Amino acid sequence: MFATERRRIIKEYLIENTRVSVVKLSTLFSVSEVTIRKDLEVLESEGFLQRIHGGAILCETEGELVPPTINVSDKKTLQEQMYIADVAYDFIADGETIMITAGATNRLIAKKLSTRQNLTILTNDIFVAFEFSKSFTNRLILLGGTLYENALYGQLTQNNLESFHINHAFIEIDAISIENGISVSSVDKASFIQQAFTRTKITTIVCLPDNFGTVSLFKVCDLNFPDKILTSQTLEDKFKKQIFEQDVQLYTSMSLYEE
Amino acid sequence: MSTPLLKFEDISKSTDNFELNDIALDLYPGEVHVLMGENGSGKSLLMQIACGGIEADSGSILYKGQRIADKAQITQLSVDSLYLRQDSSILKMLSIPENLFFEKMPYKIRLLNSIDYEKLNSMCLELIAEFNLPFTIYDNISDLGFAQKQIIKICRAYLSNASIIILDDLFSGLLESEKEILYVILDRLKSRGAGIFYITHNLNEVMEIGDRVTIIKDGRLRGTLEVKTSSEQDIINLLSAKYRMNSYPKLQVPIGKTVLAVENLNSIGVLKDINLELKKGEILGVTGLAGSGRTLLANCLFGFAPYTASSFEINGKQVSISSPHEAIKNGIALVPEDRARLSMFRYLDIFENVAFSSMKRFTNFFSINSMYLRQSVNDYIATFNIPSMTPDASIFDYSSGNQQKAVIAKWIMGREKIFIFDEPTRDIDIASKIDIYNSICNLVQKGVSIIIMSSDIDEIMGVCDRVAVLANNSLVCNEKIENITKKDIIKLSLDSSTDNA
Repeated sequence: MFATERRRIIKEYLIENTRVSVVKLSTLFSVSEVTIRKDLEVLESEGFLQRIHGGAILCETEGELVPPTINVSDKKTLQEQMYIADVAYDFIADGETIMITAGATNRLIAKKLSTRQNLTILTNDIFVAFEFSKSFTNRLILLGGTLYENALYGQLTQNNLESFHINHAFIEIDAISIENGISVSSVDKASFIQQAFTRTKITTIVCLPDNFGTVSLFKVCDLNFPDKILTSQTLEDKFKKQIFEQDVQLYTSMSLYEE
Repeated sequence: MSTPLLKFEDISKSTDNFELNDIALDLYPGEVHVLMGENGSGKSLLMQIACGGIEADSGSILYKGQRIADKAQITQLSVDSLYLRQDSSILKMLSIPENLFFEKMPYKIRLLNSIDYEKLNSMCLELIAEFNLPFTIYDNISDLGFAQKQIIKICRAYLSNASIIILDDLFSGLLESEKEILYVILDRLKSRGAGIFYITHNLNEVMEIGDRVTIIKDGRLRGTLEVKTSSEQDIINLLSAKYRMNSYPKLQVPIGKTVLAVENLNSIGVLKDINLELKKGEILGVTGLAGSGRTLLANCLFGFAPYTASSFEINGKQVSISSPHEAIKNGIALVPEDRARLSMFRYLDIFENVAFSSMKRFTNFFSINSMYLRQSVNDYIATFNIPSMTPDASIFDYSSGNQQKAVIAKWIMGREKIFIFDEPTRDIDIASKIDIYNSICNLVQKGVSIIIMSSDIDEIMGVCDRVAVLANNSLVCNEKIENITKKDIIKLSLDSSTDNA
C-alpha cells in the first residue's frame, strides 16, 4: 500500500472517530509503528490532526465533522478533557441514574457516556442533552428553566430536580482550593449544585487543573464534602497530597496504556 | 513510676518520603514498650531519633529527665542506646565468641590489643550454659540459621551496658522454643533497669512480653494501651481503626473471564498448595505479615523463584514459566519491592530505562529509531509527572517515587497484560502514590489484570476487587472486598501466625 493511500484511510478513520491510536493503525495496516508515526507527523504538518500520547486527535474545526457542542479551538484543553471523560466512563454501572451539570468538560463526559446502555441522565445543559439525542439506548431528562450560557438555571430548574433520586452526579465547578472550598461564578449555579448534592448518593467534582488554588464568586461547599474529584494528571503534586489527606478520592486522567 | 528514661515531646521530622508528626512517647526503666504499625508507618525513623542517630526537626527529647540540648548529650544518648535490626549485620568473619563479646573483649594487655582468648571462650561457655543457647563456641557464623543469629543479637544486648535497647522486628519467624530464650533474656534486661522499645507485628508477643503497646500509623501515634488491662481485641481495634477510608481512586470496570489460573503452587517449603485465579480487569490484593511469602509468590509467578505447580494457565492455555523471560513473553510484568536492585539499570538514563522492554516497537529493520523512542518515552514521562532532569542524570538521581513511576512506565510501555506489583507504594511520597493508583485505574480500564502484594491493608481495601491473605504458608482467605472488613484481614493474618508458633 502506498503512503498516500494509507494516509487517506487514516483521515477517514479520524473523521469518524475523532481519535486514533498508533498501535491500532500499525496492526490495521501491518506496518511498523515508526511508519505510522511518520504518517501522523505528515498529517499533523498538514494541519489535519494533532498528535497526542500514543496516537492523534482530529483537528478539523469547520464543517460538520465536529459537533458544535465541543470547543476545539484549544487543543491542549480538549485533549485533557477527553482523557478526563475516558476515566469518567467507568465511574458508573449500566442502568444507573446519573446527573451531568453544565460545563465544557461535562459535555465530553456526556459524549463518552452516550455509548453506554440503559442510563437515565438528568442535565441542565442543552449541549449535554444534544449528545444524548442520538443515543437511543439511554434516557435523557432535560430540566427546565431559564437559559443562561447554554444551560438552564433558576427556581424552575430546582423545582424540577426536587423529585429525582440520583445515583451519581458529575458536577463541573469553576474554582477549588483547600482554604476556600469549592466555588462557582454565579449564585444560580451555586444553589443549583447545592440542591443537586441533596438529591445524590455519590458526587464527583469535575474540573481542570487550572481551577485548583483559585477562588470564584460563590462558595458551594468545603473541599472534603464531595466523594470524588476528577481532573487531569497535570495537577500539581501539592494539591494531590492535600486532597488525599482530606479523605477525598482523587482521580486523574492517567492515560498511559496504549492498546 | 519514676522519671521516664526517655521522653519525646512533640517530635516532628520530615524526610523525602516520610513524615513524623507531633510524636509524644515515653519509655520507663524496666519497661518493654511495644511499637506496632504497618511497614512505612515511621517506626524505624522514630527509633533512629530515639537512639540519637537522626536529629528531629522540632520538638524535644528528655533523657533521664534532662532536655537534650547539645552535641555531647546526643552523643551520650547514642552511646547509652543499642539499636538492633533484623538485617543489621553479624560480623561474618569473626567467631561466635568474638561476635558476642565484641564490645567487651577481654584483653591480656590492653595496650597491646592482645585478646585473652581463653578467658573469652570461658565467658562464652558460661553464657551458653546460663541461657541454654542453641549453638557452641566452635560453630561457624555462616552456618548459623536465622533464629540463632537473632539470639546472638539479643545476647549482645544482654552483655552491653545500654540503658535504651531497641529491638526492631528481630524475632518474627522464630519458633516458640527459641523465643523462650529471648523472653528470659528480656526479663534480665528489664530487671537491670533497661528500657526496651520492641517493634513487632505479632500480637502474641505483645501479650506475652509487652508492658505497654503504642500504635503508629502514617507517622502519627494512634494510641497507647496498657497490655495488662487490655485484651487482644482492644489492640486489634486500635490497629484497624479507619483513619482514611475513602481516598483511594477506584473504578467500576467490568470484570471479564479468567486470564491467570495457578493450581497447587509450592515453593521452597514456604508456599504450600497455593491456588490463584485472576480475571480480566480485576485487581487482586495479596496481604500477610512480613515473612509470609508475599514477595516469594510474586517472584514465582514471574518465574524468578523456583516452584512447582500442577497447573499454570494463561488465557486457558497451559504455559511453563521458569524464567522472567518466559513470563514477559506471556505478558506478565513484575514491579518488584526492591526496585533499586531488581528493576533499574544504573548506567542507563531514564529514557533507556523506560523503553527497555519495548525496544522492538522502535525498530525499523535493523536499527532503533531513537528519535521516536525519545518522543514516545517523553509522552510517558510527562503523563506520569516525572520531572525532567539533565539528560545525563542517572535513574538513581530521581526520587524514589519517580523511580517507581519510571519502572511502572516501562511495563506499561511494554503493553503487558498481567501486572504484579510488590509493595507498589512503599517509601514513596503521597503525590506519586496517587499517580500510581490512577495509573492502575488506567490499566484496568484497558483490560489489564493486576495483583498487588501489600502490607498496607488500607491500600488493599481501597484499591482491590478481591483480597487473599497469606498465612501459615498458604492462602487462608479469598473474598470479594465488599464481603470483608479490615479487622477480618488483620485477624486472619495474625491468627494464623499463632497457630504456626
